[in-house]
Amino acid sequence: MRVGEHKIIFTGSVGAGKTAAISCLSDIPVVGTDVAATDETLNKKDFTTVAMDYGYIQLEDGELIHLYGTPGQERFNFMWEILCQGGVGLVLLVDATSSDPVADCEFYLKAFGKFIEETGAVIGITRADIASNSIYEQVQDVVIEKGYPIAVLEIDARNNEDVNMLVHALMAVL
Amino acid sequence: MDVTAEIVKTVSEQQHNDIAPASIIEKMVAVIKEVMEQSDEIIAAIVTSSDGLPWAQILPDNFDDKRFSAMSSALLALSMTMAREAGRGGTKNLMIEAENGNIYVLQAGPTLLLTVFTKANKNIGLTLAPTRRASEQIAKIKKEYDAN
Amino acid sequence: MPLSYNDTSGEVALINADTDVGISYLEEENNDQVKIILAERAVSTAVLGFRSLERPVSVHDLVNALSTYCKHFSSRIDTASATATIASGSDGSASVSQTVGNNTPLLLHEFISVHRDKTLIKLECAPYHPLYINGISGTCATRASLAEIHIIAKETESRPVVTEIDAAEELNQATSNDMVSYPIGTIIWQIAMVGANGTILPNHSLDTAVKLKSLPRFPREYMRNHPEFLKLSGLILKQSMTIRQLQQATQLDIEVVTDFYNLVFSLGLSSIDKSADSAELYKKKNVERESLLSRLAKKLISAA
Repeated sequence: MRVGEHKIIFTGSVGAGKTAAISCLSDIPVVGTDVAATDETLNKKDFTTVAMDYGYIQLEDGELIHLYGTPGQERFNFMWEILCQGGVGLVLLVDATSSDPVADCEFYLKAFGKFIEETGAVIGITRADIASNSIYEQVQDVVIEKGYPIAVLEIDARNNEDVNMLVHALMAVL
Repeated sequence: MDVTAEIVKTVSEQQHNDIAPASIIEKMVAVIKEVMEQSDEIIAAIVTSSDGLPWAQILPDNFDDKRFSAMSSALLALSMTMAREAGRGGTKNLMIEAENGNIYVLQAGPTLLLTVFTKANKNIGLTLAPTRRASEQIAKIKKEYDAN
Repeated sequence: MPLSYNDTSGEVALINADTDVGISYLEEENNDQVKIILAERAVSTAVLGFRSLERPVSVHDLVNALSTYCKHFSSRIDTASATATIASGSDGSASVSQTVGNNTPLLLHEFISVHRDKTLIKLECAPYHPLYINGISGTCATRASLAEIHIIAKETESRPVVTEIDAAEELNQATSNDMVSYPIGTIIWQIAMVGANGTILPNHSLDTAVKLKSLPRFPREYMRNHPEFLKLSGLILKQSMTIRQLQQATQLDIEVVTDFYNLVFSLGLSSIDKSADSAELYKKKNVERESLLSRLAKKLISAA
């Protein structure tokens, strides 16, 4: 028996770790729509999500928290709108090793602005250990400037504990 | 994006794009052109990479090729996942039946998709069959290109 | 057990920690004794009452160490009156008692003031190494190890004494041998983590409303072990709340909430919201959502 959908959306640029993060949380194997990449995505990886990733967390009483991962490329932005419908919050993953992670962050905050205002968000900076500079402060500055109550954490998207903590931080602001 | 139901008579031919090699674009456009000539009902078509980037097309001006490419890729990928998980095997095509016409999305070889837009028609077979043949031809063009 | 501050007689032992005899003596527990350890490399003195000096030891340093202890023991009676001038200047608002409790809130208060007023001070809590705090550069220079700073914060009897110093002296001290310079933020974290046993910062009250500007950069370990801080952060990121309201909303111990309050305020991450109506009770929105989220939280914690 379900009273309305409970969805958490995962977004962020290509290779930020959305699929990995959902895999950590999901009680079922993640339903993915990965295909071979042909564009600049190839700089980071061979496959890319084109429609969505889907998984869920099952609570004690059987209630489900659905997890949806969006594709990262802007050309799939129609999926962002579709997937956000009925969502309770957003997890934005930012890859610290991308060419301009702060710009990425600003871009997604803007693209999902309306959704964030209505619900809430958390930002997970991934690959911070590999990146040459720390972008933590800069990302914090962007968040403060926008005035959103968004927590920023550095995480490893493949690590269960880290991803749990991230979702925890999201729920703290919902 | 405001897509009108009435398809514009004049359609635009493929312009050069950076992703697909120019040499085979022409050949693919020729295939699309032929299938549109074979069937009045087919009014537009586009060849897309599986990750949603446009290759060859004959589309009305008000169709956003990038957007439709991405949509086709998303739709087909999701369809393939569902069909596979439901034990229905590989996806032959995805078909959308809408008030003003249909849309088919098919694989054209392992890395390309063909999307075809039709006017309202009663006999789906009339448009699906040539579409399928066209997809096979597109697949062949790509395969020959890759082999060289 | 080393000498406690209630003893009126005892020994000061000088130990050469570079010899076998010295090392074994060091490891012996001797009551009624404070140890001054001389070693080729200064050892970190995590234990109350020990002091470490690096060889070769200058006479000057040795004299300082000895006289500090002697001064301390002789002034034991005066300890209570050495309570900082720090606690003065109350604006009359209701505040939790400051004479009970440890040094944490007093130290934090000093760091806040130094940063705000851009001053340079020497903060000394006998018999420990003093801290030279530079509010302009945002640094704190000291010979004290972080462990020693923890001890200073935990102290309940020896209160910090603050003296303003000039730029020349601060520079001189900061560049001396054995001085380590830390960013003020690091020291604030160390002190705040010690906790204040529920004592709030001077001049603050349980009814001061604050709003968080951004989340503290919690170290991973810390986040893992203190998920309640995430919850507290989340609440005051969205709206101004007082300690009382936070306690009500989360049902956490008031000490935990107070420590959190002290930490974020000291780090400059929260600001007082004078316009907030502190009498208004925190309203829980969407109770159903709350319970869903707390069930999810429970599952995530147990999965970790």
